Amino acid sequence: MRIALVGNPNVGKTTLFNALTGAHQEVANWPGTTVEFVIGKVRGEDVELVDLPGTYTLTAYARDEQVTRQFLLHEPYDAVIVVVNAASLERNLFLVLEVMELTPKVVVALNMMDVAHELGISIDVGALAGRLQIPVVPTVASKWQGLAELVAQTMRVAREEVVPLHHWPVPYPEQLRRWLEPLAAELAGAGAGLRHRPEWMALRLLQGDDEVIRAVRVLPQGHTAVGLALSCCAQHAGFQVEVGGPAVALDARVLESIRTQQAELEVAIADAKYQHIAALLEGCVRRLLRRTKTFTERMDQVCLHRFWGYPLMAAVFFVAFWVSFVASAPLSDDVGNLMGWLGQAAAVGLGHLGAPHWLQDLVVDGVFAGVGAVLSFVPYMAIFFAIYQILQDSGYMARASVLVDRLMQLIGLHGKGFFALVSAYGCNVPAMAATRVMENHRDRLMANLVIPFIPCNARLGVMAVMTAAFFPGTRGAFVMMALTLISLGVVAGAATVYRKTVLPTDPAPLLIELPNYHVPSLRNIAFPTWHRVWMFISRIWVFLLWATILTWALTYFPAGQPVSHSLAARIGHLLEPVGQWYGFDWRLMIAIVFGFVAKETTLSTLGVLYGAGTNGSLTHLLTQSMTPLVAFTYLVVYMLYVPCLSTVIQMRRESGSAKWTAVGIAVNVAVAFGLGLLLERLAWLFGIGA
Amino acid sequence: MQTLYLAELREQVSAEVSGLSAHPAFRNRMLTLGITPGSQVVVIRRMPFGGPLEIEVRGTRLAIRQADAAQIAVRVKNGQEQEAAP
Repeated sequence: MRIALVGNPNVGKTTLFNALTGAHQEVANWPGTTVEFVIGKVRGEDVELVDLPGTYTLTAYARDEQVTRQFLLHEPYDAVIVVVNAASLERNLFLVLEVMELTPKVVVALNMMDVAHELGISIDVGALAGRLQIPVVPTVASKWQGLAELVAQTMRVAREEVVPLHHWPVPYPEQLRRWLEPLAAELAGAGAGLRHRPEWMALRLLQGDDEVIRAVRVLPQGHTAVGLALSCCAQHAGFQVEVGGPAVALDARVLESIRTQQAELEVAIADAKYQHIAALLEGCVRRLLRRTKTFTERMDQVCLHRFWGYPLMAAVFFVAFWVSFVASAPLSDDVGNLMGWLGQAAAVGLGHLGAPHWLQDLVVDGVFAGVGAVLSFVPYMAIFFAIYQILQDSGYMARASVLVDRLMQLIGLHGKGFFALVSAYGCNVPAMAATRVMENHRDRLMANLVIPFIPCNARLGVMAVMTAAFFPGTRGAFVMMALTLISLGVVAGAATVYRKTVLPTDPAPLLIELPNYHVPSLRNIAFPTWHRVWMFISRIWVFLLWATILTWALTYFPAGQPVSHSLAARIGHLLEPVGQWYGFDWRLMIAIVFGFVAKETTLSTLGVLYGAGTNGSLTHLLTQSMTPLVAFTYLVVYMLYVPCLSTVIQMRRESGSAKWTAVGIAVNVAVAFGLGLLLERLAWLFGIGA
Repeated sequence: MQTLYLAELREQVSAEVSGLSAHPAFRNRMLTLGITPGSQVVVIRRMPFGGPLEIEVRGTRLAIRQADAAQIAVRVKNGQEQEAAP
């Protein structure tokens, strides 16, 4: 048995899902998208529960929301639980009615009853269920209340044989029935070919649903051919197209006249739904008049204050990033050191067994270094995602998006992307995952494309060391400042250029709900955090391990030779003609190439290449081998070119497209080297570099 | 009765939505979030520098951009008319 769980965002749907299923969860990707949904097993029952992405409507345009709709349209299920927020019933019942139009097997979980109670809202559940003619179960998912009853009612509905009646759950006015009834009758007459209820299809025709319009426009005879053609084209274009069952031919003139009045019809349908909701709630819901402001209202007086909101947000984000990237750094170091120590121990063991020198070296600098590189991501990924989830779940993230939306619009980005962009200063990889908060796919793609221009912790560390070496004292602070401004400028410039050229859309309109604040539960934080970290590790480890082994091999072979005669050095010499433009020698070039594996390794690579330790400290060696201008150019190039292998893999995953990932990398490299050259030439022009 | 745009509405003044923007995706979003013709809307606060407005519709608080709110026509009840756009 399979039950679908749907609901608006911020209604405690995931809390309910976690309470019902416990730890038996697996995450699935909707085919052809990066949209995820979670499948779990209901405790003690042989029932599969599918947690679909939160949505306000089944007519949505956003990708995540469409997944919910596609699931309900095309996947098999025995019943649907619609989770609603009891404190915001009027808006929430809209989705309930939409689901009821699609299937009669619906149970409403009237969640957050405790919140509603606190707000002085009392609901006559029996009367509401009677009027809706479906079971309505009051629940408090966070306190595990009402769950047994919900499962029992759902099982009953799922087992029932329901013959769908030919009517609409919403009493549409005469103006709409004039359209709906003949359409539904004609669709019903077409018989077995129909995949969905004719009443629903008629309704969706009036609302201008592309999929349904396509289904009725395609003549039955040509259906197979068209289906084949569509799926072929779609695959080429990278689209996901569902071809419906054998279609129905409707009068083209009727469809045309619907099209011309589509806007009015859509408004009329939504209006009829809300009027019906008002009638349903009449007498069922009582609201005590409140004198005092709610907790959320009081919080928002500060959090959304036109002045105090900003320093508060800065403080919240500062703490969030400090904990995720600064406080976690020792942990990451510990993990790295532990792996180094284990590698040494393994090498000693191998030495005792008489293993050749190269094998010992491979184990230490290849295998264990690689595993260490993967695992050192774990502490800050875990802490970052936990904090991200807390900000998201508590309701604060929506406020922050509102506060910065105007600012973000200046650079053609969406307010919701702000947190992702700022967090990119910590690490680009989780920042890309954090772009998911944006509904519009193009906004998300855009953020993913510009994030690599933001220097992460690892890059900032290397930059700080080099800056301190070349520009001691106050000059160093100015140089770091200049670098940061350059990166900001590049982010803004790249976003604007992308928006004007290949991603020509306005940022999605901002119309978001400001949910009531609430304290997130541990489970709601722990599950998604664990899931995200695991997804990252499981995807990345193979690549990173091989890359580290390759780096090791390139510097080790031919065996017994000094590093200046290694394979890496040969590659460096090959790249020297490019480097000459900038004044970079082969060692700097090879450090750029190897930095792609993980930016953290840059300093150690340079150390090996310059022979630091035996010949003196690295900073000393660096300052002797290049001018401050070359160093500055190097910093600019280093800051802007492709961050690292992990970022590329993450970008591929978040954009869902190899093509866009390639574009992103190409632009990164081009901008980094282009801008580096430009700065260097300008400096010469003004005689700074002499 | 006075008709103006939501973006111009003063804070804490209740108004009735009378017309919506034409962009299909945005219209869909407004309708599903309860901004339908005839619904009551109140501007709670505005963000500085022409940032989004916080509004209340059907017991839910929403944030909407100034530019988008400029496409929603509202009617203000008699006695609550306002002089000009703030």
